Amino acid sequence: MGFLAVLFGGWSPAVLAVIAGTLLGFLAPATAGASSQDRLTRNGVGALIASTLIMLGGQIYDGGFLLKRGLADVAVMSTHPPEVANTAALLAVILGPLCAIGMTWLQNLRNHKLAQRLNLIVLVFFLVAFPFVEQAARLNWLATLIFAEIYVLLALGLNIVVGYAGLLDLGYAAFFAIGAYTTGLLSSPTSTFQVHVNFWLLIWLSAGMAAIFGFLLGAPTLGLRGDYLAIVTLGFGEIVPVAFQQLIHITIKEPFTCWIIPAFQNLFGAQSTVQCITLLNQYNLTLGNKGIKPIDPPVLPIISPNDQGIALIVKIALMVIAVGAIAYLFRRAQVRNQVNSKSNRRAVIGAVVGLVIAIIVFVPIPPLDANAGAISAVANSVLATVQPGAFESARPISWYFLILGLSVLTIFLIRRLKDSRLGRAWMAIREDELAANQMGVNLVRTKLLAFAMGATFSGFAGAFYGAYVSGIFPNVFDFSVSVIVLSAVVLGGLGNLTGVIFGALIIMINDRLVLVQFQNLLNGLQTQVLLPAAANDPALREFIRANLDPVKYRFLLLGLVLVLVMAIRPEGLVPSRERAEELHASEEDKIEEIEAKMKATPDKVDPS
Amino acid sequence: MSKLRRILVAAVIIYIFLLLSPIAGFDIPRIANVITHQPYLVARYLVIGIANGAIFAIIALGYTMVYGIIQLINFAHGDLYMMCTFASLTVIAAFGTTSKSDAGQIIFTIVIALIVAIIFGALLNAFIERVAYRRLRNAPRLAPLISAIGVSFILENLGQIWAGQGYIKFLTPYFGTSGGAAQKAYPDLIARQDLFQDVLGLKGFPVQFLTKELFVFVMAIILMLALRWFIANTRLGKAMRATSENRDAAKIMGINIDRIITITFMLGGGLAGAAAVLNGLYVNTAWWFMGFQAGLRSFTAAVLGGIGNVTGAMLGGFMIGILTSISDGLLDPAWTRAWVFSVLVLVLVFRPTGLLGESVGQKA
Repeated sequence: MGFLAVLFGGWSPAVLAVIAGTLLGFLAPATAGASSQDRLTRNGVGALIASTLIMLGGQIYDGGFLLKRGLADVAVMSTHPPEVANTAALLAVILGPLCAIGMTWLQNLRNHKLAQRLNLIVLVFFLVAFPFVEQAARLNWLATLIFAEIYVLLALGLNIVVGYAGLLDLGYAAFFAIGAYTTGLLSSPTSTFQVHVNFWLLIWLSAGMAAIFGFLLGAPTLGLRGDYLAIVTLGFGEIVPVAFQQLIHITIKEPFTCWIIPAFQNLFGAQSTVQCITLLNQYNLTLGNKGIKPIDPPVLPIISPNDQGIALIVKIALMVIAVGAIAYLFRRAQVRNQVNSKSNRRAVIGAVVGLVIAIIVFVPIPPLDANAGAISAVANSVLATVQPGAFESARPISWYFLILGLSVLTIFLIRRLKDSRLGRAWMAIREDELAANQMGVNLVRTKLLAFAMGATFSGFAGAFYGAYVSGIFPNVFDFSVSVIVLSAVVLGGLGNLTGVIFGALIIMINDRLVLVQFQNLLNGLQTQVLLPAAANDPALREFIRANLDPVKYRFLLLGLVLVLVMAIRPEGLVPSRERAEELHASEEDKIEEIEAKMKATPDKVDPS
Repeated sequence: MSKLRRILVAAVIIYIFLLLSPIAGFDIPRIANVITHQPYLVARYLVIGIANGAIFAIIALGYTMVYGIIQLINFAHGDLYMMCTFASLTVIAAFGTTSKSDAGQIIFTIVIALIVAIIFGALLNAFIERVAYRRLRNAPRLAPLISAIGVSFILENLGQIWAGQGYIKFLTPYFGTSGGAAQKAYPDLIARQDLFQDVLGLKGFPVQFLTKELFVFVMAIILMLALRWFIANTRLGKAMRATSENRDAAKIMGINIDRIITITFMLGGGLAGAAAVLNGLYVNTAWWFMGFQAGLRSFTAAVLGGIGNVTGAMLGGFMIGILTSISDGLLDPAWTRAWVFSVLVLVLVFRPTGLLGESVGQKA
């Protein structure tokens, strides 16, 4: 974290210290068995040290430290006024330990349920507050974070296929591409269809399209053994971008009329008499390497900001009815499943929350009266940034909330899926296909659904990607995307949602933010310090210029990370419980453990 | 009734195939036209296909042996082949041999380059196995595969640093647009002589058959026969077969499993080194990303022939080579990958263990 602060400077130390402190407070208590008072002190001190390091990092970047050491040239790179750095440093040292202590206190609560809920509230608060803080602190992290979240979506989808069902899919980018191209073809002025489907409909269409292709790929290949499946999906992932690149002059001629009948007629010496039917001639579907751009951004559904009076009321009423109907259906499904009454209550709460979110997101709230004083001014400024009137790339906050919403929806759906009959069937197949089959799991259907479900979520991601970047090109969706998503899943911990999310965030943030910023810093260092110092030695200058470029070693770094993680923690950073046990306790250990237990308490044997 | 339905379904599928496949270059009237009017061109494609296929087959042997012994798709194998290409290129550059050097020097250089590439490949592959895979021998199957992908990335980046700075296409802002890659010329050491016209003196023989194609083919056959002999007749080969049959039983029989696996990797790496030199002499280009495509096709070849089966890998290699060159020449080069994989899927659907693979039970 201190390193990060060196990279970014400015206000970043304060933000980083808060994040570091919170994470420390959240994670550390789980690992130690000391008394709660001890933990509080220890985490506080730990966070103080961390924050101080972060603060020092910020000071290095912004020059307060370097100027005194005479390294003025490096400090020149900073664009922030010195008082920002000092305030940020102060905030970092104060807020970091405070957050750590607060979080530790939370974890120490006797009431675990309350602690969990408070944790959730803290998480939601962080997620909601982050973009505003980020904007205020002018860190420019949001664009990267949005991309990272696209990868989170992808990783969550792939986790279904690889983590739950245990099917290795090396061509996941293909479904991402299919989702993105569906969006592009159906909502771009440059596409051949010339239609403008609403984005909110389009994400479902894209997801459905990706799912259909998941079916199409899965149907002939799912009978294959694991490694064969891997290579076939790899091939599919290779073909799809090529197809999007090449579908630019499609000519389809009806084979019977165009050559089969004429060929026979020629064979018997007759003059061919059939008129050739050409269905498509030189049809340009995907625009090849030129790509499809621009793509329509999402707009508000149903309600437009200009609606007034009865129209507005009718539309809001319609929306309420729709959401209510969804909630009702949801509840009915729950009742039918005979789940206990508690989760019914939860379902209702969920529906109400969904309704409120829908209203907040979709219904434009008119600005308050500007004369009402400071409160209305604050409220208006918040409204102005939150309301997604139209999604523009210049206002990343609305995109951030959109992808956040999609991620939350995905996480919710996947959690439900995981515990459903289907999810349990996936895991049964992963553990032992033969046994699962004997227990009545329909292998083909279950695997196909895993493929289709996994593809669905990458369809979401594709639709969002297309709309966000507003341009899609075939060579974007190549093998490296598939591998990065797979690495994220494996790095974070196969089969564990938290792990997968962390994995994707870590990989993307490292790759897009840290490495790039590190390069900027090194470039600064190079031009300001190293090159002048090596002015007399052209060979050395050339060497420095050619090799001092961390972005050039991205592949190397990613590869090293993969190899190292596999060597040290093959179950991933945040493994799911079952996998960790599977990997670390071999059969013999388990037997020994049970034997030890039996010796200790001979009358109470725990067979697990 | 069901038979009728089946025929109907097949007919519909064939019709749709005929309707849509011209998009991917499978335009029957055009192909028929080429075949009837330029049959020698088709024969030429076959020759090219056989030469390419020989190279694919040698690389595929490395895949299939490793898979046979530890059930790992060695993703880094293609990139190992790329590294071997650069190693031999370095040797050739060090000798300063060009196509204008005298015959003795050329032969000497080729032999040295072959030896260096083979040793380099063998040692590098054994090193990779030691560092990245050995620790994961009892881990779940995904772990070594991910490790192999990591090694592949590392090798690709090293190759890039070693051989020229193509633009690194990897997650550049907005997922990156492709950039030009540095291609290196591999010296054309074997003169472009036609076997029939120049060597045998058959003027006017219609099909071109370059001496380098003969060289590649003969070398490949020699290597494959040597490997077959090694596996069938030596003690080590026997130990390898035993290990791939049942690792635990082989261990009980006193076979040093680690040593056998290392030797397997060395053999595979050496073959990749030989393939690298042959390919360099034949195609005369090298670049850092060549390993990915070659590896993919070779692995497809190994799967096609029945993975774990050495003869199958050879057969698959030649099939993929011919398919590739036919598709490049007669259909549409842009869609070659699609055709290769369609054939793979078709073969796997009808023969799930590959052409020569024995029906092993499902291994989880």
